[in-house]
Amino acid sequence: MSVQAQLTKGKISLEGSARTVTEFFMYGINSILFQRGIYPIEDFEVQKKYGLDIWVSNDQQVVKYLDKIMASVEEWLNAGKINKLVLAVNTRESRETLERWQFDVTLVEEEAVAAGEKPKPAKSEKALRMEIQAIFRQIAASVSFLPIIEEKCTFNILVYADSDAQVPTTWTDSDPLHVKNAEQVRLRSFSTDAHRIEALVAYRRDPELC
Amino acid sequence: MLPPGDPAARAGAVPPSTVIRSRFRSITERLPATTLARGTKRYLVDDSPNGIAGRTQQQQQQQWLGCLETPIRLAPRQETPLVDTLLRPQRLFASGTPPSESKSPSRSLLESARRDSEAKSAVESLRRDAERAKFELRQVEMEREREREEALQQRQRLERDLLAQTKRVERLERDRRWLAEQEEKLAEERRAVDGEMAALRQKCDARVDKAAAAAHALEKRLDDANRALRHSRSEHVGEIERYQHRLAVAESAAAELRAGSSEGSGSVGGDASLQCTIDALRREVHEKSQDVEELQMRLRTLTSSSDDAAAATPSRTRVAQLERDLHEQCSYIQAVEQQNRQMRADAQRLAERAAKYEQEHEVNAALSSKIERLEQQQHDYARLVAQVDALQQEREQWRRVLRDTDTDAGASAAADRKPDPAHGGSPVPGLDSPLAIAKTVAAQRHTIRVLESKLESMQYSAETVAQQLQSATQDAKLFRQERARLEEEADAGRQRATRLDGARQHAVREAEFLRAQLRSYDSEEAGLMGGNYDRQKAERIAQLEQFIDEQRARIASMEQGAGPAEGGHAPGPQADGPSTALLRGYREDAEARLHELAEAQAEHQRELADVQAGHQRERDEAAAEYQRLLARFEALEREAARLEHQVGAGLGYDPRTTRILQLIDNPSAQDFAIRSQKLTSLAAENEALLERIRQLEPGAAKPADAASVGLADEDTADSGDGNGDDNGGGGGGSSGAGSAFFHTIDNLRSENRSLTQQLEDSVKLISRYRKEWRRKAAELREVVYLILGYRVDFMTNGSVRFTSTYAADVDQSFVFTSGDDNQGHMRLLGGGSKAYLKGLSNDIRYWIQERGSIPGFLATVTLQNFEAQPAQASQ
Repeated sequence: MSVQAQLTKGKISLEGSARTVTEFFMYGINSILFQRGIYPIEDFEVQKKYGLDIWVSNDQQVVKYLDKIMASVEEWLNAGKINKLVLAVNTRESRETLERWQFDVTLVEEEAVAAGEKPKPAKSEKALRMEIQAIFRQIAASVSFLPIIEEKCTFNILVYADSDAQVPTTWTDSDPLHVKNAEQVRLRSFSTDAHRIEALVAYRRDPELC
Repeated sequence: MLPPGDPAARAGAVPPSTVIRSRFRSITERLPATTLARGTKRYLVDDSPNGIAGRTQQQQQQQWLGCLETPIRLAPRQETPLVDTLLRPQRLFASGTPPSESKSPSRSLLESARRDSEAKSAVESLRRDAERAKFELRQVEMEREREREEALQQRQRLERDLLAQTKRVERLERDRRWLAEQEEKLAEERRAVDGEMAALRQKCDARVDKAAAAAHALEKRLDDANRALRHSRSEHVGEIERYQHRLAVAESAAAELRAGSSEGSGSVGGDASLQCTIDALRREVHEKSQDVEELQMRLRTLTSSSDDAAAATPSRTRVAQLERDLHEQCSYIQAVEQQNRQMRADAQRLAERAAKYEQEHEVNAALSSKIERLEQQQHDYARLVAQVDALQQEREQWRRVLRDTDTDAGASAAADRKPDPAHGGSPVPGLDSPLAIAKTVAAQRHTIRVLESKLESMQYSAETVAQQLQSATQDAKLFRQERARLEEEADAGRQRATRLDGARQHAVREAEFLRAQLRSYDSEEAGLMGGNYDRQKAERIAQLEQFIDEQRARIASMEQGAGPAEGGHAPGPQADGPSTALLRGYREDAEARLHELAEAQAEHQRELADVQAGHQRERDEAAAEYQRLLARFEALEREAARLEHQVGAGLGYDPRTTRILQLIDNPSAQDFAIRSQKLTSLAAENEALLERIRQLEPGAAKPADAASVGLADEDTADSGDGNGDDNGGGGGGSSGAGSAFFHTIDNLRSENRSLTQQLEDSVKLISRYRKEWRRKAAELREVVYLILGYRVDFMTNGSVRFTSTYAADVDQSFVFTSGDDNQGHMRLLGGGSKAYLKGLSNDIRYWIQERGSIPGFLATVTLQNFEAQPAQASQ
């Protein structure tokens, strides 16, 4: 066993971290789509994940779309070429962006271990699950402060990738779909041994409340 | 001086008068007491033998000093070492001559009084500065209040605009809903018309099919009838030919017979029979001719009527009937076919027109989408320009901030740092991205934290110094109290010393008198009695001793009368002489100590003032630095919040390093494509329906008239191409002028235009009114200022400020407000200067509170200010 392997024993690798993050994105996007009522409740089914009941879409088009997204996202995560993943909720009528769920992705740098010191212990799976659980609970609780979506809405997923990332032909450039007159709330974050995910939701301020 | 020794041993050897004399001598002629040094303290040592028996001088001195209980020893001891050292007696002057180099207590008192007056003047100036700062603060608060009011008004104006926009949007929404309802109605009507057309077409097709089947059946019947006719005709023709042949044969036979009769004209019998034959033949020919006519009639009937053709009755009328019916059917079929062709041509033309219209509509949609895209791009461009401007401004701000930072941070190192020509006046390199700015912000935050911690430590040290200052002030206060107490004690001691001095002088005079008396006794004894005088002398001595005791008792009673202030610790009657010396020494010592204490206090106060000034300076610097850092920290916090907000809203990213990607086939794009397609089809359908409505209008051209329809279509198409949003008006004007629908739209549009015009006119009018109102208000204020002598300033919070023409200072103003009810009852709210108002408190109470007359008060103030003016005063 090599030294590096011994040092990283017990820690999840970059690929494993990318898989974890991709899975989180998948379930997080499904949970947001359910909580914000983008699709009717009949299009969702309950799945057990992270010790929670998470509603996951069973609409084949959505599932296929998310699978395509996540395949590319996992590749970019492995290559370290992704900065953000954004779920934008926009109206069907005017295509205005109402909400913007942003997940900032940062690579966790390996801290230099001095001679004689013990390396930093790996984050346990339970701790990781608890952090992700907290984010899902915040997503579920965000319904209480986010404005009620009364219009028919759809969604789009944006990926902030490095300019030198390899982009498949099924992807194209997009505008940032920013939210006008936005309020924003920072949610909890979680980190694996290789990635750190910070969540933030920006939403259009209700003009009647201003 | 008498040598020290046991007084009891000496009492037996020396007569009492000698003892008394020696005692008085010791009191009057004693030299100043010597001082005895012990460690750092020096105590007064009494070397007189009075009252000292069997003890050493030192012990006696200690006991005596213990009984004295000096005020210093009685005073509460301070814990501070400084006080301890100051309270410790350093020197004790026995001769009563103060040191020539030390200042006198009165001078020190004058010094302290002068310092107190200076401190008071400094405090007054600080208080004035504080008042001035409070006034500026109030002005700033009023300014903020006015800005807040302006912001509130701006917000209300924006809310009004928003409300107007909302109403306009609602009106447009109502129009849109109305149009959508109209569209739905038209769609329903179109569906009904389509259904009717389909039913009609079906009916026509059925009729055409039925007519075709009938025509086919008729053709078949006609063919059958023709065949039967041809057959019967051929039969009849054959029969006719046969009859004609027989007729010809009969005629030829008749001719032969006629020729034979002419040749054999004589035979009568033969002639009769021949005539019979001819008649029979003629009858037969006539019958045959009738048959032929009947057959021809039947044939004519058969050819004319196809219905009766099958009847096989070859009558001519039937044929004619059949032919007539057949002709009618054929003409009907031809008309139907012609109509069908016409309808097909119409349908084909319409299809071509629809295709052409769709193409044009697609072109139009593409152009409109292009225009929208261009507008969006223009909007984006404007937004980007605004963002670029904002970023440039921000860059300028950052540049200034960084320049300031460089100036602040590198002021010391500016001398040895060469200016970078590339970045001489440009911002610090590396701040061209939000990340770098964020890093800089983080670094600045760290610096601010460090400076804050430094400031906290400095504040802590300042607090410590302030505590030390406070304790020193308390010490000084205690010293001052101690000094006052010592001065009081010194005065009391001085008075007591004066009294004792008087008593001493009295005793000295008494002693002189007694000495003179003794000398007289001695001379009398020597001259007159010759040595026999012991009894009288003893009596006289006893009297004198009694007198001396009385005098001592009197002195003791006097000392006791002067001593209560000292707690009853006056020395006994045997210590008269030393007590005076001791009191004098003590007084001098106390004065010296007071002087030393005053000096030490002055020194300490000077040091304290220096330390205080240093700390105040440091505190001011630290406060200024803290304020500056706080302002910068707040600015950086605001900037960081703005940047974070931008990042959260999706605006902050660097397009040079980051790409924003989306799947081409995403739900939003799919939905938009579906909606675009649906919208396009609906728009096309709407246009078709509008066209249909135009065609169905009573004034429109009839659809049957192909030429007029085509002309109307061209007109409509031209109007649609020429003016996209005026589709109903132009088309209605040319094709359906009487359309209420298009008239409604035209009316709404014209009403909208007129309302917009009215709105613009009203805005202009309001701006003119406002300008005129401002001018008139300024004029009114000027008139009031010139005539009534007060400049009136209406503040944003509803109050009014009056500043007199003759006011000596700008802050000598009055602020009136109308109260909460706004009922016209004005009341004095305050003024620019509180001191000024306080100076006018009598006038305020007299005029406003008692008389309730603000004009009277203002007139009084005007007169006072006028009289207080320098020019007026000089006159």
